[in-house]
Amino acid sequence: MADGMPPINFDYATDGAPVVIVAEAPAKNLDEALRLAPALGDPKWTAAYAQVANHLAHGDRFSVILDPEAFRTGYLAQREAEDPAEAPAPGRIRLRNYGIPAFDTIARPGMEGGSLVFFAVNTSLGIPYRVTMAPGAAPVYRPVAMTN
Amino acid sequence: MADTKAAGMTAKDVEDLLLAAKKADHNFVMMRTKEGVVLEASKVKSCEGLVTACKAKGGQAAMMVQGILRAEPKLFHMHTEAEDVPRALPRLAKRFFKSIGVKAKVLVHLPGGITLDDEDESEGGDEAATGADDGALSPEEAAAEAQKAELTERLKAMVPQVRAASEQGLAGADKLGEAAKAAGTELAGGGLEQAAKLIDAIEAGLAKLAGAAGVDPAALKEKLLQEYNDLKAKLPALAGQVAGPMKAKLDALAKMFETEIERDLKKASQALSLLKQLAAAELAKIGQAVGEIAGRIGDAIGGVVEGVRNVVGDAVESVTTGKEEQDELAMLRALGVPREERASLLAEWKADPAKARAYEAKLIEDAKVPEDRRADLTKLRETDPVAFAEAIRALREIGAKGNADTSPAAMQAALEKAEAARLEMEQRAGELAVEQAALNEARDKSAEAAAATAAAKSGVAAADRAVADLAASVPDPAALTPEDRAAFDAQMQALEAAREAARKALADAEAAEAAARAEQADRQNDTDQAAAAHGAAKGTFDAAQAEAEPAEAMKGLLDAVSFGPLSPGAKPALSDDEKAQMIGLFGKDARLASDAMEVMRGAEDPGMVARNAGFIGSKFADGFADKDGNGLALSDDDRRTMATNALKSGAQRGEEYFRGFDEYLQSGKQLQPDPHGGMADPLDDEDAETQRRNAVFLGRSQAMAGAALKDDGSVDFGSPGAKDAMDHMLFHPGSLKTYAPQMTEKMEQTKALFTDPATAAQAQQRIKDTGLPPDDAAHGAAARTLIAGTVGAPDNADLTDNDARAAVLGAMMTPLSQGPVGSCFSTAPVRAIRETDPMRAMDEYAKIASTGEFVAADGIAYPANTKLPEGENPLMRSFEYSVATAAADERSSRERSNLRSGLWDANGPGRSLNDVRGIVGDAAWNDSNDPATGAIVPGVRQKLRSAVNSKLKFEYNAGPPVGAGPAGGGGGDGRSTDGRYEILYNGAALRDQAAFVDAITAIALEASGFAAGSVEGDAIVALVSGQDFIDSVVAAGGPDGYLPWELEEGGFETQTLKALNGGNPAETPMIAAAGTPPPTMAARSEAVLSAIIANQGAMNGDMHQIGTTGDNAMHAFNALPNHPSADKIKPPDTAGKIQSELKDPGAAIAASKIPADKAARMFRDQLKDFMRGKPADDRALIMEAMKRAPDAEMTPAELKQRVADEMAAWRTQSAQRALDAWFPERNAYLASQGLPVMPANTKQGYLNWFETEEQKKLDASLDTQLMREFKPPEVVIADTNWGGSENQIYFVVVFDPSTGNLTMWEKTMPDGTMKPLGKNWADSMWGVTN
Repeated sequence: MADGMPPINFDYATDGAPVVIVAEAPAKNLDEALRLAPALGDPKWTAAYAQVANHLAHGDRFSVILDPEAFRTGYLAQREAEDPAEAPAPGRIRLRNYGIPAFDTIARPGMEGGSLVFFAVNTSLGIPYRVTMAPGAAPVYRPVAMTN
Repeated sequence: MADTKAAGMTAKDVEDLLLAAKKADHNFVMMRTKEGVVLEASKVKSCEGLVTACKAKGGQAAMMVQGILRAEPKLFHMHTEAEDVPRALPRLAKRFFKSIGVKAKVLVHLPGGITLDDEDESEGGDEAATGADDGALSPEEAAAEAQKAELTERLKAMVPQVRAASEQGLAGADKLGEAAKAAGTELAGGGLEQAAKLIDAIEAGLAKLAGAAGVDPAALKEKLLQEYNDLKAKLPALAGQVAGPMKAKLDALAKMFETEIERDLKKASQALSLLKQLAAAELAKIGQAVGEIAGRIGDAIGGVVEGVRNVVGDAVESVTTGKEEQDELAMLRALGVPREERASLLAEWKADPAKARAYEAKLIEDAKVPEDRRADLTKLRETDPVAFAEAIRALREIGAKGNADTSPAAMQAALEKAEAARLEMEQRAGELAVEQAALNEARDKSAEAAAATAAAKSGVAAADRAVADLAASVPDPAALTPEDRAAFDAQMQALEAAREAARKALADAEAAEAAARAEQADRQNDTDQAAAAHGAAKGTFDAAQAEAEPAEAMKGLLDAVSFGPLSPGAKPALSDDEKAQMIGLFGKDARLASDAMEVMRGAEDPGMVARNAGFIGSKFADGFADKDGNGLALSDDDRRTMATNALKSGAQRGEEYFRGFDEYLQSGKQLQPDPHGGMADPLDDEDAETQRRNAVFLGRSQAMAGAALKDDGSVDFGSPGAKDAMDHMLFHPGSLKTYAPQMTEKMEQTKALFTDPATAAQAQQRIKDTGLPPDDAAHGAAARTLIAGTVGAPDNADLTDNDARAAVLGAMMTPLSQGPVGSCFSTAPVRAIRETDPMRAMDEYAKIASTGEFVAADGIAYPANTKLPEGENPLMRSFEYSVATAAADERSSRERSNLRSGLWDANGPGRSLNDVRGIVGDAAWNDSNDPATGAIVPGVRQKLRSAVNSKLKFEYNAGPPVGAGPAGGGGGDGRSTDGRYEILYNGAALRDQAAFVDAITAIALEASGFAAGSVEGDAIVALVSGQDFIDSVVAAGGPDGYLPWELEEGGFETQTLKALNGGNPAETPMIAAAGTPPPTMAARSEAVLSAIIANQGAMNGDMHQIGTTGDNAMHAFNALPNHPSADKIKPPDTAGKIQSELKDPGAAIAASKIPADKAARMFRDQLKDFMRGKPADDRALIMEAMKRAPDAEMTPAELKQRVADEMAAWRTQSAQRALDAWFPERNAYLASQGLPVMPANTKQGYLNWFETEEQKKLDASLDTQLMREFKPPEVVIADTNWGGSENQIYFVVVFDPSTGNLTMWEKTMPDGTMKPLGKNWADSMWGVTN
């Protein structure tokens, strides 16, 4: 276990709301999580902080990108595997429905001007989002820029 | 020629305009101004646009004339369709031109041949003498204008009453209509005195018609005396100019009037009428001899002129003479019998009515009407004399085309002859296609051979050069050393050998080319022969059709007037004149007449359609010619299609459409090509045809949007360009051939947003605010792709903000319906927005165009979807698809939550994936932190959760991609009636328990890091495949169970609503699915209808989302709670009202007997209609069935059964063909999905299903006929989403005349086609989403 960081697991409450289990204690929001695991506020643990914030915000609807290169490789492979001739249909999720994400902008979680910035993939769609969380605010998810 | 104008212009400008208008017609508008007049003229701008220009130059719209400007040297001809042109305008114009130094005469030509001269009212023709050169009205002119205004108002006020009287079929009403028209003509021509008399007479006539007794004798007597006294005072002047016998006649008639006025008003009015006729006739004679006196006398008797002079008399006559006499008069007029002969005949018939009957009988006989149908025409004469006369005229036209033998045997023979000729033609066409293909192949080979020869020639040339070059490089080989000489010789030998080989290759290539050319010549010869054979066969077919045409036309006409829509007492009721207009079409084209009657019967205002049928028929006949007679070179079929669709458009849009169509045709714009491709013929391949049509529709939206958008970003549908574009959509042959009434309607609706004061400002601002995304916008590329596609620009085009605006307008002009690959779950909510809240729809389109994103109600942004069905409007579809993506994301989230619950939430050993913890141990199970990166390193538990998330995909499967079929779904046709979500693992759907267990096992092993075969791995396999585990997964779904391999049917309609509007919408049942045994269709239809009506009170807006859940009937769509058709059964006592308003009238229809002739006609019509497009084998069977038409009266149900019985052979054959096509296609689909294919020995088991489907198509065809015939009352309950630019489909509840049951139907608008809805729909659960 990392210095100062208690064990953290992701789970869901009986009502379906995302929770994080810090050691044995459940936290339903980021303040509680920070209280139970103050190390999350340490810039050293930004990645964990991003994962916790992401889980509490959207559960498994988004997943934090920790390895941008692996994400890029997987994304392009999946896109390539899709049949370009397949007829489109509403609700038919394909990466070819969109352009190519600006992979060079995708980075590991970090702090920018006091805000936590990380990238997360929408689990259903497979497309990346840039997430910005200002201090005391909820994370804001914006789809990463794309080119044709 | 550039636009020209004459306001404030020089003499040269006017001379130029004279010259220009001499060379080509110009549209023009002329208005009075303070200075005189302003004249705007243009070859390209519409009059509407010129009006604006005139007003801008001080023109007074109250005094204006517009139309077509032509010129001769020093003379302007102004042709106008308006009848109320101020008489002073020509004179004012002339003075104005003179004031700027141009001597030009001005003539204004009114409809009906009246011309306003610039000398009119000019006090002897010397305008200088009037002292009115300042352009102001003289007191006399002002008084005339005032009187004209007063008369115009009176005339306008009485028009509705005249029309109503005509529609009620009141005796004499038609004559009042003629008098009203004449009054209008007189007003326009300045004949105020005569107009006043006409208007007085019409008012008097209306007053009499209004009275139950019909005639007020005292008022009529007074009126007749007034008329007589006016005339009598002038008679001496006339009598002094005529010979003795005529004078005696005039005196005798005057005496007769004076006698009868005290005894018999009817006779008195006849005497007065004859007196006027004689006076007018003599006037004409005198006019030929001494024009000056004629003019003076003409004035003296009230300015009566040919064509209108006796209308007052006719009107009075019409309300005083007996109906029979009126009818005879009307008939004779319609037959074109001259007035004098009419009077003579009427007098003769009055004395001996039998002569009238004999006259009619002779007409019928001369028209070669079969004896057994003559009584029908006689009956028509009794009820509709004008229609009768038109029928006689049409029958004469038909007879002139050829033999019209309407006996069943002759018609069947003609049909068979035409069919044989068709088969021959099709066979020759097939042969021609084969020869053409062979010729194309030969041409390709010939071209290849020529290329080979050319290459061989190059080879020879190269070889020659190589030999020459080598020789040149060694000028003296003898000087070489022996070694070099040997090498040289060897090299030279090799080159010469190569040259020889090249020459041989050339010879071979030339021989091959010659052979190829010979082959091509042979193929060309064969093709020419095949083309000639095909041409001859086509000629034979055309001749056979032409030969059959007269009989078809005569039978069609006789059937229509005997028992069809034009027969006495038929519904909808038509006036005599309206019937006459429809009948006239039979003389032009029988099929057009038949189609027109169908349009008329389905129209909201059938009379209006009928009144314009004659106009459309005349345009069909002249090839939709312009004012100079230049017509379209179209096939009969295309002209017929154009005419029929013009009637449909008029039926939908009203009288104004026909006026606009006439104006458009006059202009000649129909002769220009259609840049959108609407004139192309339909393609055989269904998908290709869909794409072709989509491309046409997209082109139209682009053109209309571009025309309405101004450079400054504002929208102006009133601009000349926009008007031209809209005219193109409404009237151009391409628009009428590739017909898209729903799209045109959307264009009109969009136009209304920008012209309705309630929305105009907001709409303008919304468009103004729309622009391209900033260069650094995250999804600007997507936005630009959508904009470019929507406005028709290349992908890499330099787009502008106006392109973004045009894209939004184009999307607004495109109907948002369920596309061919659509899903109701995404379409229903967005369609409701588009239909009921167009401003929001425009807002949504604008946001996507400006950002390339759709932002769901929960704040999550989604890149706009850019992969869309080819050819469809990209921006419109992207909105729908992007919303669907947001909804699918939400739905996947819900499904994922369900799966998570099934896999993880159960307690107890062996019941959840939590038991993997005991297998791998706590250390591996729990997460840890990476000390270097700080990231949480997932343990097996988290890996397992993530893997389930990332490796299992949820995807909606709308159904198989090919036809429904008994073992298939129904979603592939864009109707999404059998779709469901599926879980995919490695791209394959998990459709059974074993596949599911395999997938979870694989995921769990990979997450754990243990392979099967290891202790831990085997333990994991045992856990996941254990019955306890499966039971707990299933139990997570509660009493209904949760089967991940067979997820709940249905889509994501509530999620779509949530993505659009937020909240937590949910569907609740309005009526549960039918129980067992299910109720009858009638009972269930009534129950569903009652449930919907009961829930309407809680629905919002004009469209409210509802859905069905049932067998092959999964659908989300919108109820229409405010549809007026439901008003008649709304609470209280819905049950009672359903009985009285729907069931009772329906039952009466179902019990009624269709007369034998009519039943036979319906039988044949249906079969002939069904033959279209069928293979030759099918056509032969249907031809055979046609021989056995009913010969006795029967109920609708009996007729339907008769059709089913006689078509049994066809049904079996057609079903077998469909089965033969479907079976391998279905197996291919199953194989592609990894599913077991159907064994060959099961194939025939499906035949019955296909036979039923074929019968349904047949039933639907007859049902449509029956519904049109009987028009039972209906309730429109829902908009289905199904439709597009051409039509829209609704769910309705109507009594079925052929079954006697209250039934649910699909109704296609605007055609009104009806198709029964399967009982599976009625038996479904019907829910409402709130």
